[in-house]
Amino acid sequence: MNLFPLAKNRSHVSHVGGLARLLPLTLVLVGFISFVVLVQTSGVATNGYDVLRLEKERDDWRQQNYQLEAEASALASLNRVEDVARNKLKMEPPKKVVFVEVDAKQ
Amino acid sequence: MTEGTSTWRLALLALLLTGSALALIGRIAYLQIIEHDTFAVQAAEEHWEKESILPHRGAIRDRHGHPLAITTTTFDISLHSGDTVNPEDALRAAKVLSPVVGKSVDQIIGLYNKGITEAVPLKTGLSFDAGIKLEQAYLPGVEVVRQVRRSYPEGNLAAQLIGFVGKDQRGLSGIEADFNRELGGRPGQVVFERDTEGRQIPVGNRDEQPPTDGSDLILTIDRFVQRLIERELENAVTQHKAAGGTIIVMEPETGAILGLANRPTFDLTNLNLADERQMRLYRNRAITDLYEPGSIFKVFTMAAGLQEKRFSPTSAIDCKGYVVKYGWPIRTWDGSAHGRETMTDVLIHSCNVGAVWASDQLGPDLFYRYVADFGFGQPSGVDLGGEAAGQVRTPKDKDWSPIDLSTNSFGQGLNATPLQVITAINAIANGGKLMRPYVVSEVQGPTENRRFEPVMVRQVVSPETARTVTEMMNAVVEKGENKMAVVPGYHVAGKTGTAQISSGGGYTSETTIASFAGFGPLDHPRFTILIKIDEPKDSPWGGMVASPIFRSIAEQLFVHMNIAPSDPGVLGKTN
Repeated sequence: MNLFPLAKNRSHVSHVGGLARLLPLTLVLVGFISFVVLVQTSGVATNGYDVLRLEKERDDWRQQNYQLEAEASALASLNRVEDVARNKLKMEPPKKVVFVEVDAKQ
Repeated sequence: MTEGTSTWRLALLALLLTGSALALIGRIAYLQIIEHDTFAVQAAEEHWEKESILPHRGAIRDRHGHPLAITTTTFDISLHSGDTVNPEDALRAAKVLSPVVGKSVDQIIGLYNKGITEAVPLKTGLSFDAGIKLEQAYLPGVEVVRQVRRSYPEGNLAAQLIGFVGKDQRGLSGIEADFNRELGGRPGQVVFERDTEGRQIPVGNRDEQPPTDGSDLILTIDRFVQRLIERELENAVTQHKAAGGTIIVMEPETGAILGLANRPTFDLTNLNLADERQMRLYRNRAITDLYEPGSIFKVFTMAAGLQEKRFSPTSAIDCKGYVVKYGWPIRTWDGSAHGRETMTDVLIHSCNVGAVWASDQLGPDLFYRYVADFGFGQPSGVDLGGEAAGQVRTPKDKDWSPIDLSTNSFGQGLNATPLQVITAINAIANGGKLMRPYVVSEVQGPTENRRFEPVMVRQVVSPETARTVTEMMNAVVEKGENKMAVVPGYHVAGKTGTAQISSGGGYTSETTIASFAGFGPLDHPRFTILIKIDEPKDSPWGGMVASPIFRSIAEQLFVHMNIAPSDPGVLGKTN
């Protein structure tokens, strides 16, 4: 026999009321966590694509460096230097080469 | 409907559902368990991509670090308008392509309008920066393909020495092949998850083993010296209408090869591997082709006799113009009698009779011991592939006969590579020390460097003997009739060689190999030079053909190496 029916009902109401209050909070929390996970995942994906793009850029710059070295070497090649010296600057091979000995004490 | 009928129907439905469920479970079990491996592989193939990452091939550089061969990426541009391209897009693409590929806008639009189905090449070897711009422009119907290629900033310089690579960037000849492992590096690999369009999933799993780039090779070659000797050789071959030739320059103290040139050669910058006639041009004749050194060999006969104290530079003989050995007459090169002559005169006159006398003083055992000690009959050990050992018959060989001793004394009846000859002459320049020739001085890798130090093979003759022979060789240059090797202001040593060409068990009478080997300056040699001109048509003699080339090269080397004249007041001149 229930000697305190009111008390039991009160307790039940209180318990249900607590759950009802907890539910929105839980939903908000779950929603927030989901949002954070989504944002992070999206961020990771974006960063991942950025990393891939930057890696390709790095490789392209590296190739560009090789290309520039080849171009610089071609510009400094003996054939080109002679061509510029003879035809553009109108230079000629020296008729005489004079060696000047410098006294080490001077 | 009775209750019994309803129960029966429900049981049937339950049976059907249970059966279906069991069938599904069975099918799933079959696919997941029994066929697991098959489908796992299929799924992996769909889902995972494996790509090889090619390493960057190392450069080949001269001794000052200037690249002679370098790998670059270029672009090939082609048009494939199989897909329908609307006129506005075609015009936009044509305007971008026109200045790059050197075709007019109308020509390119014409190609679009033709509705071509196969790719039409527009431009090959487009530079990297121009190619990248086209790649990023995403022009309709335009295919932009990256190509890795070997570039040669110095053009065709040292073609046979450097060699070339195939389309797969593997070395096929020369240093490219001999040092392919160092130059080529090690490929890497990346395994990644891909999306439905085949792109890498950024957050997916990824396993990358990065490639190890190839190492750079630093050669002992000096590009200035290389270009100088190639130019001199080219001029000499043209002037004397020769079949070809070889010039090598070596550093006496180390054996480092400063320059090595052969003619005929091939065009490194315009290779045609399909042309079989070109095949014979690819070999490095300085190390693969054998010839009879001729009178240059008298230097070694003299060095051996002096070292063994069998005679001195002033020991004299009476040359009658010929000597009969084992029933065979051996004559002087011009048939003239030199009369009384010292051993120094023997070298000056390049007297075969004197050389035969010198070898007789040594005897076969000592003579061939020195021949071997000077490096003949065995590979020099140079760091290049395909080196020939040369052929020297000794008394241990069945086909050797005593007359061989006489003919070998003046460089006939045996053969050697040009590299062996210069290495042996270099031993005289280097105080009697025979050095192992080498071309690669350093391997500069991504993580570590390896340096190759000079290697002394043996002390062949004493420094005193080497000095005496050097003075005798100086007398050849300065006191001989032909003074074409004299370099004003400097003292150099040298010896001519005129060798007959062996053919069918005898010698051809019309053609010779004209050569000259020498070094300078006398007091502290900085370079050794070998000049070998094959079958000159205007003059057969080494003194006439090769000596002037030596002089010209030596003159320019003295200036290049900042070597002041040893005679005060005399100025070095350049041509």
